[in-house]
Amino acid sequence: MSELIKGGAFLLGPVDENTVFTPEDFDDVHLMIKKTSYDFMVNKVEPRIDEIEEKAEGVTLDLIRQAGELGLIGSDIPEEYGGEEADKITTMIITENASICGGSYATSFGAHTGIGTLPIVYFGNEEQKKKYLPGLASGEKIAAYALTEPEAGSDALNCKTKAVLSDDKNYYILNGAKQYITNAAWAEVIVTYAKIDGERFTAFIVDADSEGVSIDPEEKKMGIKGSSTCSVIFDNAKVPVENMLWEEGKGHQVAFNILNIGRFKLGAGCVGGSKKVIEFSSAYALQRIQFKQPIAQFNIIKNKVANMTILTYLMESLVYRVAGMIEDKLSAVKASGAAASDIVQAIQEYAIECSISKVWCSEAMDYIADEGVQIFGGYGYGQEYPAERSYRDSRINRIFEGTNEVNRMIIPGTLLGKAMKQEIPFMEAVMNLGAALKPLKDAEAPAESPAREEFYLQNLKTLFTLVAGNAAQKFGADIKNEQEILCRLADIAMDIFAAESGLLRVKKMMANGESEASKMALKMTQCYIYEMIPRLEAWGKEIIAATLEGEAASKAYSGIRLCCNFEPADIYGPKREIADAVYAGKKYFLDR
Amino acid sequence: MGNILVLAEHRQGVLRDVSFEMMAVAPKLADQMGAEVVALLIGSEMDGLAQKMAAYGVKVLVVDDPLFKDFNADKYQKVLSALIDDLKPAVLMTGHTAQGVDFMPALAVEKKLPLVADAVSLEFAGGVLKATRQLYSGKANAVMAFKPAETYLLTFREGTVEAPDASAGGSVEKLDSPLKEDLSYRKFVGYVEAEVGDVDITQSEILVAVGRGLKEDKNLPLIEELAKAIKADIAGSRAATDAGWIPHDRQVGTSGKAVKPKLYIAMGISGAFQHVAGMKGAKTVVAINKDPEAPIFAVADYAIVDDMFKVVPKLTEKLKELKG
Amino acid sequence: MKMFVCIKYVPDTSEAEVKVNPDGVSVDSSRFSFDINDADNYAVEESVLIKEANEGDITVLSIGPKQSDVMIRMAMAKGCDRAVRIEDERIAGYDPLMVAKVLGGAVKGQEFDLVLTGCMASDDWHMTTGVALAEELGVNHVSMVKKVEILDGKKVKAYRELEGGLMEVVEVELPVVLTIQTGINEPRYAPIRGIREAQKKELKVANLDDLGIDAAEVNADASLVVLEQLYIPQVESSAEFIEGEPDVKAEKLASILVKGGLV
Repeated sequence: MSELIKGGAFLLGPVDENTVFTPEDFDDVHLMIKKTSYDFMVNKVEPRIDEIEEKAEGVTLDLIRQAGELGLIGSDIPEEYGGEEADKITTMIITENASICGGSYATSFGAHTGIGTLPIVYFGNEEQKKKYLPGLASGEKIAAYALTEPEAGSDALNCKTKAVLSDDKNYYILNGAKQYITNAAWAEVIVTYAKIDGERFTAFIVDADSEGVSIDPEEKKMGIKGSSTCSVIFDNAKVPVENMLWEEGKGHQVAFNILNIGRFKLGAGCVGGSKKVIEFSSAYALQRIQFKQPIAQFNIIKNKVANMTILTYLMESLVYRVAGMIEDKLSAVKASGAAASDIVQAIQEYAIECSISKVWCSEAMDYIADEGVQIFGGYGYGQEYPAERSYRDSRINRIFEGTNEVNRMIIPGTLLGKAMKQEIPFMEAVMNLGAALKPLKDAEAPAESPAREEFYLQNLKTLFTLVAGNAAQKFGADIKNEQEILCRLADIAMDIFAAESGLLRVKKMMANGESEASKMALKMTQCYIYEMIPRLEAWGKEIIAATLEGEAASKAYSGIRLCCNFEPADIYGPKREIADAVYAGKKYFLDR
Repeated sequence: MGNILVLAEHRQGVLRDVSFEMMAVAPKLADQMGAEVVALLIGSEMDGLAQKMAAYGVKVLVVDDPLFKDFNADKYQKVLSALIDDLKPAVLMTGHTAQGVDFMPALAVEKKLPLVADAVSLEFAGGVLKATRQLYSGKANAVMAFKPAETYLLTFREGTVEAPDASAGGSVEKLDSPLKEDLSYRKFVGYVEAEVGDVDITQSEILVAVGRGLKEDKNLPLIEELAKAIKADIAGSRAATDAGWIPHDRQVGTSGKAVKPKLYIAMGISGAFQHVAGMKGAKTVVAINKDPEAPIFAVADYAIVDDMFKVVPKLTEKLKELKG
Repeated sequence: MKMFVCIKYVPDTSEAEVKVNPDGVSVDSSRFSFDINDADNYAVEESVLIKEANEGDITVLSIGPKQSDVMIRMAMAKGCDRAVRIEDERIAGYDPLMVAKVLGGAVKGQEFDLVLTGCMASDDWHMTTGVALAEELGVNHVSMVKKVEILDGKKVKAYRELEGGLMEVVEVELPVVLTIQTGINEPRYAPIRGIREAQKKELKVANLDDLGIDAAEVNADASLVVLEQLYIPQVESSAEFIEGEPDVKAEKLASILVKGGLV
C-alpha cells in the first residue's frame, strides 16, 4: 500500500490513478452484495412504493427488517454485535441501491443505518454496544438521530436542550425539543444531544419509551412523504446515566464526525436515485411518440439524457473514490489497533471530500430529477409518473446533513486550515505559482486523450491555487466573512474533484484495454471538462475582481487565461452517442 | 430411405393436438426426402386412437399392451430404442411436449443419434435435413443442420402449424411389443388434476389477462374493475401465476389452459410462445404493453404501446360510459 | 443426501435488442446482462431446501466463462458447498447433448443421490440437457418437476408439470436426475454473511483434460448437428396500433371495442 492520500491534496497536483478506487475494482463480494441489495429493492421494496408513500402501517419497518435478515442494514456494525462489519465500499453499494425506490425508503433506511446507529458503533462503550447494536443490526429496533432544534439548525451548537443530573444521580433529566427528526414516529432508540447544566454539550442514547419522551404529529413535507419526520419533546425525560454517549462535554465530536459519514453516504444515495431517473426517463422517452417518432430520438432529448448520464458517471466515480480513500485510511487505522473513535478521526481527514460528495452529488441529482420531469413534459408534473416524486424527494438532499451552503464553506475553510497547520503544501504551491504559470505560455496540450484532458485539469488546479492563494493573502483570517468567495472556491474545487474522478477512472479502465465502456467513459469525461473550463474561468475572474485591483488584478487575469486556455471540441456528437448507449439498455450503462 | 416415424401423443385416452399438427409437417418433409410418413402409437387399448390417426391417410403402427396404460418415459425409451433397430426410420419425430422432452434426449444419448429439440420448421435439401428453432426470447432463429445419420431425432413445437384435413388411404398395423415385462424404474402414481377454481377460463367469452407487468397483487383491483365493466373473467400468464397474483387454474399457456374467447385483452404480457400457444384461439386480441418490441404485438389485432396503469383506468371509465 | 446442481450463465434478452455477429452463428452479447438461468435458480433453491430438510452436500457444476464466478458464488452463498466451473473452448456448447456429456464426465466416478438442473435454459430453450445427462450417468430421471418429496431417503416422489395444468406423479429410486420447473419454490436472496462464507468455499476451475474428458467426444466434430446459421426473424404484426396520449388511447380502444360489438 502506497502512502495514504491526504484529504484535499488532490487540488495541489496530479493524482496517480492507481491510488484511486473505482467501481471497476469491485471484487466478487462487492458484486454479489450489489446484486442482493439491488434485487431486494426491485422485488421487495419497489412494489410497495405507494404504500410507503402513504405511510401504511408497518410497511417501511417490515421492509427494513427483511433487509436486516439479509445483513443489509448492519454493514457498519461489528460482527460481535450482530453486524456484518463490511468495508466502506460495501456500505456505499448498499446505500446506493437503497435509494433506487424513492427518497422515502432511502431516508428511513439512511437515518437508521447511518446517523442513528453509527454514533453507538463509533462512540458507544462496551455495554451500550451490547445493549443496542444487535437490535439495530437486525432491524428489530429502529434508530433516529435528534440534533436539530427550532433555534439550532446549521448552528447546531446553539442547543437549548438541557440535561440535569437527578438527585439520586441515576438519571439525567432532559428538557427541550428536537425538530425534523427522521424516523421519530417509529424509532425505539434516539441518539440526541443536550447541554449538561446548560453548558457541556453531550450526546445521549434515549429509549423512545422512556418517561417524559413524546413525539409530535408528522410534519407535512414537500417530498420524502413516506418517511417519518416529527419533533421529539423531552419533558423531564429520564435518561439513565449509563446512556450518556462518549464523554461529557464532547458531544460535538460525536455530532460533527457522524455528519461527515452521513455526507459521504448521501452522495451514494444520489447515485442510486439518479440511475433510477435515467432508467424511467429513457424508457418513457423511447415510447412517447410525438411528431410520429419517439421523443427519445430528438437530439435535444438525447442531449438531456446524455447530461444526466455524464453527471451520474462522475457522481459514481467520485463517491467510490471517496469510499476507497476512507476505506484505505480505516484499514490502516484498524491495522494499528486504534480505538473506534480514531476511526472517526480518520474520516475527519477527508472532511473536504465528504462535503464535496454531499454538495456536488445532491446538486447533480437535483438537476437530473429536474430534467427527468422535463422529459416527461406535462406528465412529469403529474403524480402518476415517478418523475414528479423524484423531483420533490431530491430537494431535501441539498438541505439535510448540513445545508449545501454550510458544506461549501467547509471545503475551502478546511483546506486553508490544513494549509495553516502545514498538513498540505498549499502555501508552497502559492509561492511556486510563477513557476507553474510560466511554461503554460508556450505549452501545447497533448494531442492524445485522455492526456489532453489531464493537462487541462492540471491547469485548472493551478487556477484554484491562483485564486484561492490571492484571496487567502488578501483577506487572511477574515476570509471567513467572504462567503461568496468561499462558496465559489468550493464550486471550483468540487468541479475539479468530480471531473478528475471521472478522468482517473477512464485511465484505469483504459489500462485494462480499450472497451466499449472505456470509450463511453472517456466521452463523458471530455464533455464535462470542455463545458467546465469556461465556467471555471469565469468563476476565477469573479473572485479576483472581488479581491484585487489594478496591476495585480490584470496579472491575475492573464494567469487565469493561461490556466483556462483550451481548444474547443464538439460535444453534441458524443452526447448523442452517450444517449444511444443509454437507450440500448434503457438504463445507465456502466452498471454491472 | 427409411420412413418418417411420427409418435402420436395421447393422454387419458385423448390424442394431443401436436399429434395432428405433425401430420401437416411430416408429409412435406416426406416429399422432400422421398420417404413415407408412418404414425406410431404406444399405449393400451389403442384401437380408437389408431383409427383417428389413420384418418390422416397414413399407416399407423400400434404397440398396444396393458404395460403402456400410462405414459412412462422409461418404457417409451425402451420401445423406441427397439423400434429404431427394427424399422430403421429416417426420422423419428415427437411433440416438443412434457412427454417428448422426457425421453427423447435420453434416447438420443442411448442410440448415439442426433437430436434437434423444439423445431418450428423443417427442410430437407441437398441431402441435408435442417431444422429451424428459436432462441433468445424468440428474437433469433437458428438453423440446425443434421450430420448424416441412420435416424434423425426431432421434437416439434406444439401450436406451430394447423392440423391438416383428414384424407383417405390410412391403415392400422399392430406390432408386437418389444417390451415383455415391466422393467421400468419409474412408477406411475397418478395424475393430480389442476385445482378447479370458481371460473373455467376455457369457457370464457371475454378474458382480461395480466402478466409480469402487473407488478404486484395490490394492482389487481384495477383489473377487476375493468373485467367487471365488460363482464370478463381474469386470467394470467405464467409470471402472474408463479408470483401468486392469479390462481394457477387461470394460467393461459402451454402449462396452463388453452382458451378461445371472442375477446382477449393481454396487459403487461410480453407474449412468449408458451403463452401465445394458449391464447391463439382467441378471435380478437388486444395487447397493452410498454415494450414496443414485445412479441405479443405480433398476434394482436389492436395494440397499445404504453404503461397499462396509465391506460386501464380511463379505458374502464370510457367502457362503462359507452355501455351505459 | 449428496447432490449436484447444474447451472447456466445466460443473457437476459427479454428487453434487449438481439443482433447477429458477422460470423452468422453468434450474437453480439456485449450489451447483454448475464445471470443465472431462471429455472436453474429454482433448482439451486430446491437443492438447498432438500439439504436443509435432510442434511446433505451440494456441488455446483457450471460450464462458462470467468465472469460467471459471481453467479456460482451466489449459489454457494445460498447454501451450496462447493463448485466446479468448467471452461474449455473446445466444447460444442450449442449442442445440449455435448453439454450433457461434459457434465456427465464431471460427475462420473463420484457418488450422488440427486442431480438437479433447470428444465430449460432461457437462452436456447432446448429442454434437453438434464434428461440427456441422466442417460450419460446411467441413472433415473424425472423432468419438469414442480414438486419433490424425498421418501425414506431412498426414493423420490416427483410431480411433473404437464400441459394444461395437470400434474403427473411418479416415484423413482435414487440416484436420480431431476429437471426443475420454475415456480417450484421461492428462491431466496443470498445474505451478506452467506456471500462472505461463499468466498471461502472451493470453486475449482477445470478444463476437459482436468476432468479426464476426451475433447474429441464433445467438440463440434463430435456433435451430430451443426449450428449453421442464426438470423433475426421478421416479426410481422398486423395489429392496428392505437396512438395518442394514454387517455386518448384508452378512449379510442373503448370505442373500437364497443362499436365492434366485442364487449
